[in-house]
Amino acid sequence: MSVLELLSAVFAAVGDVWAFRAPARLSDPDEAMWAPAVGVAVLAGLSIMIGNAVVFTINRVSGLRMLAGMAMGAVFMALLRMLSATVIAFAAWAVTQGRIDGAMIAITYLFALAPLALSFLMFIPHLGLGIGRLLEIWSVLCLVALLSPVLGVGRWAALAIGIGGWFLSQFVSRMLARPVAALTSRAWTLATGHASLVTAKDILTGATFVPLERQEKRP
Amino acid sequence: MISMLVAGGVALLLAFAFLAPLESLRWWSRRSDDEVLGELTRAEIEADGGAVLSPQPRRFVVYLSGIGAVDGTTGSRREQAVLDAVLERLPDMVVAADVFPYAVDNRGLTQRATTWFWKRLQRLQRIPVAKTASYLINLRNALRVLVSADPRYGPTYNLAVAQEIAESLTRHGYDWQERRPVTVIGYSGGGQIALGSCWYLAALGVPVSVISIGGVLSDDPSLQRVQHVWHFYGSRDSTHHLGPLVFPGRWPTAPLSDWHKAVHAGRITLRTIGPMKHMGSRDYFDRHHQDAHGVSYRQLTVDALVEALSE
Repeated sequence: MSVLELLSAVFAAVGDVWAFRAPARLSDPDEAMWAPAVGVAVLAGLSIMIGNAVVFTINRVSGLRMLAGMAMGAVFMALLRMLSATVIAFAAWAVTQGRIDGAMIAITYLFALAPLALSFLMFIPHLGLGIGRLLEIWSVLCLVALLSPVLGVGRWAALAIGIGGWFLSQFVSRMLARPVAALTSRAWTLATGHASLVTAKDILTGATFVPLERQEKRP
Repeated sequence: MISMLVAGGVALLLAFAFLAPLESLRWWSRRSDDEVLGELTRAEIEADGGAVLSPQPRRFVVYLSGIGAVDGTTGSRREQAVLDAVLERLPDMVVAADVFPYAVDNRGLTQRATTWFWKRLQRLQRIPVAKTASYLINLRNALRVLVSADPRYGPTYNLAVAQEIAESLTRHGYDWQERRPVTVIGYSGGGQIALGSCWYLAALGVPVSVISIGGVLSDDPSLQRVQHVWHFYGSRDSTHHLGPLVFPGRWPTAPLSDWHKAVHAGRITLRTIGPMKHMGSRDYFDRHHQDAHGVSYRQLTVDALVEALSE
């Protein structure tokens, strides 16, 4: 698949998911599905990263430290999403009594991130915060719409899996917030010699998975 | 054709929205904490300031104009007339109206590289048939109001404006040893920025209160620190309803927000002062139209301000 074909497939998938339609590749098992699905997730991730860049600017973090922080933020974001996908897979497993394809669930989950490609709109003053929440809800609804044909279950079952999985993943991420924050903070401090300012609240909001540090200028 | 115009309008709106927080972010990122906080403290302000008034007036008032303003120096004559009338009745006060609340560094729209553009729009404000184009000034400034109310950008933006207010107070002879009460009056979007910046003025130990004239107010954390907020509005002013509509902290669903806590503590006074509209003819500064008792809208606004400032 050439780069142009990949981009075309990614944007076509984004358009389909936005309209709550299953992308053509999701319904055709012979098509290569991973690349466009990962492409959609990367697009969403890049869009979210713009918001993180603002957080860095406010905290006067720039250059290499900003790049390192953004990379780490991306890893954390991926981990949180993997956690959500796993929880949703377990919910699907429970509802379908084990009749699930793990890879298909993962691909569906990645496609459902398509609304987050608009996350750059969160940069808009004040209204951006509400837009962020709407995009999250839109993403969960897309997941519900995609899960129904993929799992071969009715809409209500898909809704139960999508919403239930989302709530479960929120619960688990809140439980893990403190230990994860402590671990990252420790790793960051060991690597840089400076304390990080990442907090459990940052983890919970899913917005700032970036270990910021304040540069104190001492005389 | 229409779809192209709509697309162009949306693109312009997005461009303005994305640019809105950048100015204060850049202002903040180029300064160290010590520099910013140092400029706010009394000693630094006194070093740059003018002569301290002695004896000190009973109260200092800082006026922040509405979203139609282009800078802090060429204020509207109608707004100035209201301030003059208030000062006439309360001569033991000092009024400062030289802060442009829609930019950091008090840099008006007519004091930057794009001066030609804003000056042209400013001229259009006075021509009824071409007035629509001048609404770009309102749009640009309204987005700064959202920046002020945004928990991400607001703290740095409000800090920059607070710094300008503090410097304006110093220019007008404020004694930072005595710290007389300060009231920040904000018209329209200026109301929210007045509220936001008071967090830092209160942190300097200044007894600070806010008067909003048809302001669009959020549930700003400043409400924990200001002594009192008076929100005056006209019964035909629909714009001020944006506050309780756009800011979730003012919804009944957020009883523990700073806004509702301040309301319960009796630190917010909401009052209809007449049949005014938000802007244009029949607004708060209109001297030609009168209410049912024959009192001009301007006089109603002056009376309300005098009453609040006399408390």
